[in-house]
Amino acid sequence: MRFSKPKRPITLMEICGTHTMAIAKSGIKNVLPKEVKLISGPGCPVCVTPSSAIDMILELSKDPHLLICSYGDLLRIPGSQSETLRARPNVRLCLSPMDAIQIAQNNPDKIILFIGVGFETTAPGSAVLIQEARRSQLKNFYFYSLLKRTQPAICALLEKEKTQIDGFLCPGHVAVIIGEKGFEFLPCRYHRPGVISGFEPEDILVSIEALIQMINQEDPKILNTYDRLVQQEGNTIAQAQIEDVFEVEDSLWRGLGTLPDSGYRLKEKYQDFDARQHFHLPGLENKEPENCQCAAILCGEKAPSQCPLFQTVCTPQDPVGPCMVSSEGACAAAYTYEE
Amino acid sequence: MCLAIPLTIQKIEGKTAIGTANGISQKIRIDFLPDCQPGDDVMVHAGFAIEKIDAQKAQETRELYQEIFHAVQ
Amino acid sequence: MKNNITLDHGSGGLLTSRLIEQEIVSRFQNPSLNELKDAAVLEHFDQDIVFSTDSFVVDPWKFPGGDIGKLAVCGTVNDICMAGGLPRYLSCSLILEEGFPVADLQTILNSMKESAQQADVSIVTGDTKVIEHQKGHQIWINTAGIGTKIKDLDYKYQEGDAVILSGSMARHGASVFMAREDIQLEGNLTSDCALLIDQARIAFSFSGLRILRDPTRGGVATTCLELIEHSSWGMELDEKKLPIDSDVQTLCDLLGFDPLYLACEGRMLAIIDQHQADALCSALGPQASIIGKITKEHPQKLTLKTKIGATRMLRKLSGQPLPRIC
Repeated sequence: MRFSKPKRPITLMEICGTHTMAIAKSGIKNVLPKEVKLISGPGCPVCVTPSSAIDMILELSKDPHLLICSYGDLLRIPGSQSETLRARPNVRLCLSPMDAIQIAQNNPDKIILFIGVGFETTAPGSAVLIQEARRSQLKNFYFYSLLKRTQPAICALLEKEKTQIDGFLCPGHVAVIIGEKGFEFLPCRYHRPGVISGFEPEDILVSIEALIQMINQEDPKILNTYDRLVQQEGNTIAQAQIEDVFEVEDSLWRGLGTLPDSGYRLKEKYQDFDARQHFHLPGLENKEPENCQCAAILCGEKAPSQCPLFQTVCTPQDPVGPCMVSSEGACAAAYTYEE
Repeated sequence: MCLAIPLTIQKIEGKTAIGTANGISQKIRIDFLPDCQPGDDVMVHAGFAIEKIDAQKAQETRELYQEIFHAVQ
Repeated sequence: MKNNITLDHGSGGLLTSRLIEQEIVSRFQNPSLNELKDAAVLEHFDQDIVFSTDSFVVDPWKFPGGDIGKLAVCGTVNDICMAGGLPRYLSCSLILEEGFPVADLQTILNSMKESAQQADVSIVTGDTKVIEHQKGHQIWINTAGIGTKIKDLDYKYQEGDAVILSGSMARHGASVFMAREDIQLEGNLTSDCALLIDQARIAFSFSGLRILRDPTRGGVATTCLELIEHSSWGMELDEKKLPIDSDVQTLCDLLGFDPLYLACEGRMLAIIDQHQADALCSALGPQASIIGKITKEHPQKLTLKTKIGATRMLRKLSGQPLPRIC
């Protein structure tokens, strides 16, 4: 396909890690006009999870009475001592949060700890898990929320002084839940265009072209090229489930620090299931490895190749920073798919 | 951020359904789509159907992409 | 080396290569080992002998389309074929966990017998050890095999040589995930686990055949890289031509896997003179297809021409695949 010629060099950010992967896998960067630079944003939930959280879960997993349940994404992330959860015998892989209900019922002599990671797409399912745990009167189930919201992170990026992001490729599956309206803040508050995109290479190419056109015309809007799935209002039932179970709180992001209202914690009426209360879990802190440029990379200020550790000490086999630990992290995608 | 895959609803039992594609089936939850019916195509993330796929718009998108990317130039 | 062995050291990817090269080949150096083929060709006998060994730890031991017994025979037989040999004899070492049901062992041994008969090999020696409950995992099998060499295969590639895959990829890796207890998916997806003797014999009859490999652990991408990483050639795969069955693709989409990195256990990769490629494909049957070519550009690198016409690199598998939601 032919792209419009950008009137000036432009930088676009794909917020979503699944977009990062799709872009790298299909080689999209190689077919873009040379004036267009694509950078990756903080849209990989395990990448933005502080390493102290992984360390804490690893520490908890030493208790043989505990069964730790989570998605494969989290289980392969090494803590600061390069141990992973998957190597522990009392860790169970879940494809759906609802798997945890069955695991809890099948193991009445164990304490089940579900680690909830993800953004707005994943949060409603986690809410249903917690509602179901109450309905089933589970006494051996706890939920540790590392769930995050997208908008505060984008705002934090745009409010940084050095930010040079001209437009956003908006995450299609987050938009399914929060709707087109969930991204209206981009043009309204920050005068930046955004296109809600699907994940096929064609979706992404068409969306990038739409961004170029809006930037050329200086007419920032939210467009939706994923309208086969995403609606203006989003999925209001899923939104209501989040609302029932969770409330927003300030949350710590790897690379970005503590961002206001950027995380979800359990509401008081569900506190019987809150792992933080039951296990008296401490707050998280950021201990980033020396020389690691992930903070700048997550903000789109640097490319992976500009980090001195990239490909030398930091590889997917032996990751140092968050962007390398998850396969959808910017560094892992660059390492795996680019020259 | 969030992988999701289109599945076709095969049968529904309360808030649980069987979604299938190409002979692979998964038990999914349909809490967020109370109106969905067997035969509907839905997008599934982490075991939950998060939205119905609009068949007409999907067809329009396919045709548009066919025109943009695969037309003889 | 890392301080401790991790699962990734057994994944067939980069860490496996490093373990083999840094800790094993460097110590045991000899010409047969250094080639790092699936099987060693041993000279100085009346006739050259092909010798290979492989251990099988697949979990669960039973998967749609096969079990650890079938795999243990096919795996070693195929390794001998891929090195230009025809297998004659196998050994069989069983490592059993205390408490493993005898009926299950009988099922596994019957599978071994059936596959050995099909391959026309005799299981002539073996060993059995039992380890304490919970110190092992149900059953592990090692087989070694000896065959006679009937085809010289070296890495003498030429520009434009074709890369042929004998059937669709990733079926075995996908079927093992289907069989896992914690992955609750239903379907009729079966492993491709099979003997490759017939396909190898067909390939041996082509004068332009350069090399054969079965893309097991690490999948097609990792195996293709191994075929060129020590040569002065590059390889380009064409994404549009990669054969993948729709059920395998769906499973990969559901779990977030790249089928290029999932194992086949009954597929053969052949590199052959481009002028004989179509003939080899037809001889192998309708499942076989040309998936790529040897290139002068990008020596020692594996590239993929993607569906949108861009080119990107393929690396070795890094880390065992684990289902993702993101």
